[in-house]
Amino acid sequence: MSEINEQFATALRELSDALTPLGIDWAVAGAVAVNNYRDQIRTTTDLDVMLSLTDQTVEVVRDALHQHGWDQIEVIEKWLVRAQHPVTGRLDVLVTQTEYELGAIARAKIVSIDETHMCKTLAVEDVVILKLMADRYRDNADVQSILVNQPEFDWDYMAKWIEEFDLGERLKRIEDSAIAEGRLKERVSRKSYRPKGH
Amino acid sequence: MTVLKGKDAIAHFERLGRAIAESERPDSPPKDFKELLYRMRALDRKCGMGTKDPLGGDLSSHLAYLEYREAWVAKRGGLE
Repeated sequence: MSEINEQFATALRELSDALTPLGIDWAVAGAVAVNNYRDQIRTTTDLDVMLSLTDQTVEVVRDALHQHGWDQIEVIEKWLVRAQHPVTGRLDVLVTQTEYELGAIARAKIVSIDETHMCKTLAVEDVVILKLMADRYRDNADVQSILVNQPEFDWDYMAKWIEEFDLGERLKRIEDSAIAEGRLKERVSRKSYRPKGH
Repeated sequence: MTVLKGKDAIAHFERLGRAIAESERPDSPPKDFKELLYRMRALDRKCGMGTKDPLGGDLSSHLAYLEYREAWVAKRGGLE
Protein backbone atom coordinates (compact mmCIF):
# COMPACT_ATOMS: atom_id res chain seq x y z
CA MET A 1 0.00 0.00 0.00
CA SER A 2 2.86 2.42 0.77
CA GLU A 3 4.22 2.39 -2.78
CA ILE A 4 0.99 3.32 -4.50
CA ASN A 5 0.29 5.89 -1.83
CA GLU A 6 3.61 7.61 -2.11
CA GLN A 7 2.92 10.38 -4.60
CA PHE A 8 0.05 12.02 -2.71
CA ALA A 9 1.80 11.55 0.62
CA THR A 10 5.02 13.02 -0.76
CA ALA A 11 3.14 16.04 -2.10
CA LEU A 12 1.53 16.66 1.28
CA ARG A 13 4.81 16.17 3.15
CA GLU A 14 6.61 18.58 0.82
CA LEU A 15 3.80 21.06 1.18
CA SER A 16 3.98 20.81 4.93
CA ASP A 17 7.75 21.32 4.85
CA ALA A 18 7.34 24.30 2.51
CA LEU A 19 4.54 26.12 4.33
CA THR A 20 4.90 25.32 8.01
CA PRO A 21 8.22 27.20 8.47
CA LEU A 22 6.54 30.25 6.93
CA GLY A 23 3.78 30.12 9.53
CA ILE A 24 1.14 29.56 6.84
CA ASP A 25 -2.01 27.75 7.91
CA TRP A 26 -3.43 25.54 5.17
CA ALA A 27 -5.88 22.71 4.61
CA VAL A 28 -6.53 20.11 1.95
CA ALA A 29 -9.62 20.95 -0.12
CA GLY A 30 -10.99 19.57 -3.39
CA ALA A 31 -11.38 15.88 -4.14
CA VAL A 32 -9.16 14.61 -1.34
CA ALA A 33 -11.21 16.50 1.25
CA VAL A 34 -14.47 15.59 -0.48
CA ASN A 35 -13.61 11.90 -0.47
CA ASN A 36 -13.61 11.93 3.32
CA TYR A 37 -17.38 12.36 3.10
CA ARG A 38 -18.58 10.99 -0.27
CA ASP A 39 -20.50 7.74 -0.46
CA GLN A 40 -18.15 6.60 -3.22
CA ILE A 41 -14.51 7.63 -3.47
CA ARG A 42 -13.60 9.32 -6.74
CA THR A 43 -10.36 10.07 -8.52
CA THR A 44 -9.00 13.53 -9.35
CA THR A 45 -6.51 15.26 -11.59
CA ASP A 46 -4.89 17.37 -8.90
CA LEU A 47 -4.35 18.08 -5.24
CA ASP A 48 -6.17 21.20 -4.05
CA VAL A 49 -5.31 23.13 -0.93
CA MET A 50 -6.59 26.33 0.61
CA LEU A 51 -4.20 28.53 2.53
CA SER A 52 -4.39 31.73 4.51
CA LEU A 53 -1.90 34.46 3.74
CA THR A 54 -2.00 36.84 6.66
CA ASP A 55 1.69 37.70 6.94
CA GLN A 56 3.04 36.40 3.64
CA THR A 57 2.55 37.13 -0.04
CA VAL A 58 1.63 34.79 -2.85
CA GLU A 59 5.14 35.31 -4.26
CA VAL A 60 6.61 33.84 -1.05
CA VAL A 61 4.41 30.77 -1.53
CA ARG A 62 5.49 30.46 -5.14
CA ASP A 63 9.17 30.57 -4.12
CA ALA A 64 8.64 28.03 -1.32
CA LEU A 65 6.91 25.63 -3.73
CA HIS A 66 9.74 26.05 -6.20
CA GLN A 67 12.31 25.20 -3.53
CA HIS A 68 10.37 22.01 -2.77
CA GLY A 69 10.33 20.71 -6.32
CA TRP A 70 7.27 22.25 -7.95
CA ASP A 71 7.83 23.93 -11.27
CA GLN A 72 5.65 25.47 -13.98
CA ILE A 73 4.21 27.60 -11.21
CA GLU A 74 1.60 30.07 -12.36
CA VAL A 75 -0.29 32.63 -10.35
CA ILE A 76 -3.78 32.98 -11.80
CA GLU A 77 -5.78 36.07 -10.88
CA LYS A 78 -3.63 36.46 -7.73
CA TRP A 79 -5.86 34.10 -5.71
CA LEU A 80 -4.95 30.83 -7.39
CA VAL A 81 -1.53 29.21 -7.79
CA ARG A 82 -1.25 26.24 -10.15
CA ALA A 83 1.96 24.22 -9.98
CA GLN A 84 3.26 20.97 -11.41
CA HIS A 85 5.69 18.64 -9.65
CA PRO A 86 7.56 16.10 -11.81
CA VAL A 87 6.93 13.32 -9.28
CA THR A 88 3.91 14.25 -7.21
CA GLY A 89 1.76 15.85 -9.88
CA ARG A 90 -0.40 18.95 -10.01
CA LEU A 91 -1.17 21.24 -7.14
CA ASP A 92 -3.79 24.00 -7.08
CA VAL A 93 -3.54 26.48 -4.22
CA LEU A 94 -6.51 28.69 -3.43
CA VAL A 95 -5.60 31.76 -1.41
CA THR A 96 -8.12 32.89 1.18
CA GLN A 97 -9.68 36.31 1.08
CA THR A 98 -12.53 36.19 3.58
CA GLU A 99 -12.99 35.63 7.30
CA TYR A 100 -15.15 32.63 6.44
CA GLU A 101 -12.26 30.91 4.64
CA LEU A 102 -9.82 31.67 7.45
CA GLY A 103 -12.31 30.10 9.84
CA ALA A 104 -12.73 27.08 7.59
CA ILE A 105 -8.98 26.42 7.67
CA ALA A 106 -8.84 26.99 11.41
CA ARG A 107 -11.62 24.42 12.08
CA ALA A 108 -10.33 21.85 9.56
CA LYS A 109 -9.63 18.33 10.81
CA ILE A 110 -6.08 17.27 11.55
CA VAL A 111 -5.04 14.00 9.91
CA SER A 112 -1.83 12.03 9.83
CA ILE A 113 0.16 11.73 6.60
CA ASP A 114 2.83 9.53 8.17
CA GLU A 115 4.61 9.10 11.49
CA THR A 116 6.13 12.59 11.38
CA HIS A 117 3.77 14.71 9.29
CA MET A 118 0.24 15.92 9.87
CA CYS A 119 -2.02 18.08 7.73
CA LYS A 120 -5.53 19.48 7.85
CA THR A 121 -8.50 18.60 5.65
CA LEU A 122 -11.58 20.78 5.45
CA ALA A 123 -14.57 19.81 7.54
CA VAL A 124 -17.64 18.45 5.77
CA GLU A 125 -19.67 21.64 6.22
CA ASP A 126 -16.97 23.75 4.55
CA VAL A 127 -16.46 21.23 1.75
CA VAL A 128 -20.18 21.50 0.93
CA ILE A 129 -20.25 25.31 1.18
CA LEU A 130 -17.23 25.71 -1.11
CA LYS A 131 -18.73 23.24 -3.60
CA LEU A 132 -22.05 25.08 -3.58
CA MET A 133 -20.25 28.33 -4.32
CA ALA A 134 -18.43 26.78 -7.31
CA ASP A 135 -21.66 25.15 -8.59
CA ARG A 136 -20.16 23.23 -11.51
CA TYR A 137 -21.37 19.77 -12.55
CA ARG A 138 -18.60 17.95 -10.65
CA ASP A 139 -19.12 20.14 -7.58
CA ASN A 140 -22.83 19.40 -7.50
CA ALA A 141 -22.18 15.67 -7.94
CA ASP A 142 -19.84 15.85 -4.94
CA VAL A 143 -22.47 17.59 -2.82
CA GLN A 144 -25.06 15.01 -3.82
CA SER A 145 -22.71 12.15 -2.97
CA ILE A 146 -22.00 13.70 0.45
CA LEU A 147 -25.69 14.23 1.19
CA VAL A 148 -26.44 10.63 0.20
CA ASN A 149 -23.72 9.45 2.56
CA GLN A 150 -25.31 11.52 5.35
CA PRO A 151 -22.27 12.29 7.48
CA GLU A 152 -22.84 14.18 10.69
CA PHE A 153 -23.38 17.88 9.90
CA ASP A 154 -23.30 20.93 12.13
CA TRP A 155 -26.49 22.32 10.63
CA ASP A 156 -26.33 25.55 12.63
CA TYR A 157 -22.93 26.31 11.14
CA MET A 158 -24.17 25.27 7.69
CA ALA A 159 -27.26 27.48 7.96
CA LYS A 160 -25.22 30.51 8.97
CA TRP A 161 -23.00 30.37 5.89
CA ILE A 162 -25.62 29.10 3.46
CA GLU A 163 -27.70 32.14 4.34
CA GLU A 164 -24.69 34.48 4.31
CA PHE A 165 -23.65 33.31 0.83
CA ASP A 166 -27.22 32.83 -0.40
CA LEU A 167 -26.70 29.17 -1.29
CA GLY A 168 -30.06 27.79 -0.13
CA GLU A 169 -31.54 27.45 -3.61
CA ARG A 170 -28.45 25.64 -4.88
CA LEU A 171 -28.57 23.15 -2.03
CA LYS A 172 -32.30 22.62 -2.53
CA ARG A 173 -31.80 22.00 -6.26
CA ILE A 174 -29.19 19.31 -5.55
CA GLU A 175 -31.37 17.66 -2.92
CA ASP A 176 -34.40 17.69 -5.25
CA SER A 177 -32.28 16.16 -7.98
CA ALA A 178 -31.06 13.42 -5.62
CA ILE A 179 -34.66 12.69 -4.60
CA ALA A 180 -35.77 12.54 -8.26
CA GLU A 181 -32.94 10.11 -9.00
CA GLY A 182 -33.91 7.94 -6.04
CA ARG A 183 -30.63 8.60 -4.22
CA LEU A 184 -32.31 10.43 -1.33
CA LYS A 185 -35.70 9.68 0.19
CA GLU A 186 -36.20 13.22 1.49
CA ARG A 187 -34.35 16.47 2.01
CA VAL A 188 -31.66 16.19 4.64
CA SER A 189 -31.00 19.89 5.18
CA ARG A 190 -33.35 22.49 6.63
CA LYS A 191 -36.56 23.17 4.76
CA SER A 192 -35.67 26.76 3.96
CA TYR A 193 -32.85 29.26 4.23
CA ARG A 194 -33.28 32.97 4.38
CA PRO A 195 -30.86 34.94 2.23
CA LYS A 196 -28.95 37.51 4.27
CA GLY A 197 -30.64 40.91 4.28
CA HIS A 198 -34.15 39.54 3.59
CA MET B 1 -36.58 -0.87 -32.64
CA THR B 2 -38.90 1.63 -31.01
CA VAL B 3 -37.64 5.19 -31.05
CA LEU B 4 -38.70 7.02 -27.92
CA LYS B 5 -39.50 10.69 -28.23
CA GLY B 6 -40.48 13.57 -25.98
CA LYS B 7 -42.03 12.60 -22.64
CA ASP B 8 -41.62 8.89 -23.32
CA ALA B 9 -37.87 9.33 -23.79
CA ILE B 10 -37.60 11.44 -20.63
CA ALA B 11 -39.60 8.88 -18.63
CA HIS B 12 -37.43 6.07 -19.97
CA PHE B 13 -34.20 7.75 -18.93
CA GLU B 14 -35.64 8.71 -15.56
CA ARG B 15 -36.46 5.03 -14.93
CA LEU B 16 -33.02 4.03 -16.16
CA GLY B 17 -31.31 6.59 -13.91
CA ARG B 18 -33.35 5.47 -10.93
CA ALA B 19 -32.49 1.83 -11.56
CA ILE B 20 -28.79 2.68 -11.78
CA ALA B 21 -28.97 4.79 -8.63
CA GLU B 22 -30.79 2.07 -6.72
CA SER B 23 -28.20 -0.51 -7.74
CA GLU B 24 -25.30 1.59 -6.43
CA ARG B 25 -23.80 0.69 -3.09
CA PRO B 26 -21.74 3.04 -0.93
CA ASP B 27 -18.07 2.32 -0.40
CA SER B 28 -17.03 1.28 3.06
CA PRO B 29 -15.45 4.31 4.74
CA PRO B 30 -11.62 4.36 4.66
CA LYS B 31 -10.16 3.54 8.04
CA ASP B 32 -7.82 6.54 7.93
CA PHE B 33 -6.41 9.27 5.71
CA LYS B 34 -3.64 7.03 4.39
CA GLU B 35 -6.16 4.49 3.18
CA LEU B 36 -8.20 7.25 1.55
CA LEU B 37 -5.16 8.38 -0.46
CA TYR B 38 -4.37 4.77 -1.32
CA ARG B 39 -7.86 4.11 -2.60
CA MET B 40 -7.85 7.24 -4.76
CA ARG B 41 -4.64 6.20 -6.46
CA ALA B 42 -5.81 2.60 -6.73
CA LEU B 43 -8.77 3.85 -8.79
CA ASP B 44 -6.46 5.64 -11.21
CA ARG B 45 -2.68 5.52 -11.39
CA LYS B 46 -2.71 9.00 -12.92
CA CYS B 47 -4.72 10.37 -10.01
CA GLY B 48 -3.40 13.80 -9.06
CA MET B 49 -0.92 13.96 -11.90
CA GLY B 50 -2.64 16.79 -13.75
CA THR B 51 -3.87 17.02 -17.31
CA LYS B 52 -2.12 17.54 -20.64
CA ASP B 53 -4.01 20.77 -20.95
CA PRO B 54 -2.48 23.23 -18.46
CA LEU B 55 -5.92 24.80 -18.14
CA GLY B 56 -7.63 21.44 -17.61
CA GLY B 57 -8.77 19.61 -14.50
CA ASP B 58 -10.90 21.55 -12.08
CA LEU B 59 -9.64 25.01 -13.04
CA SER B 60 -13.12 26.05 -14.20
CA SER B 61 -14.47 25.07 -10.82
CA HIS B 62 -11.82 27.10 -8.99
CA LEU B 63 -12.50 30.11 -11.19
CA ALA B 64 -16.24 29.77 -10.62
CA TYR B 65 -15.61 29.73 -6.88
CA LEU B 66 -13.38 32.80 -7.05
CA GLU B 67 -15.97 34.58 -9.18
CA TYR B 68 -18.75 33.84 -6.69
CA ARG B 69 -16.54 34.99 -3.81
CA GLU B 70 -15.63 38.17 -5.67
CA ALA B 71 -19.29 38.93 -6.32
CA TRP B 72 -20.14 38.32 -2.65
CA VAL B 73 -17.35 40.65 -1.49
CA ALA B 74 -18.46 43.33 -3.96
CA LYS B 75 -22.11 42.97 -2.92
CA ARG B 76 -21.29 43.65 0.70
CA GLY B 77 -19.05 46.58 -0.24
CA GLY B 78 -15.67 45.06 0.59
CA LEU B 79 -14.14 42.87 3.23
CA GLU B 80 -14.43 45.15 6.24
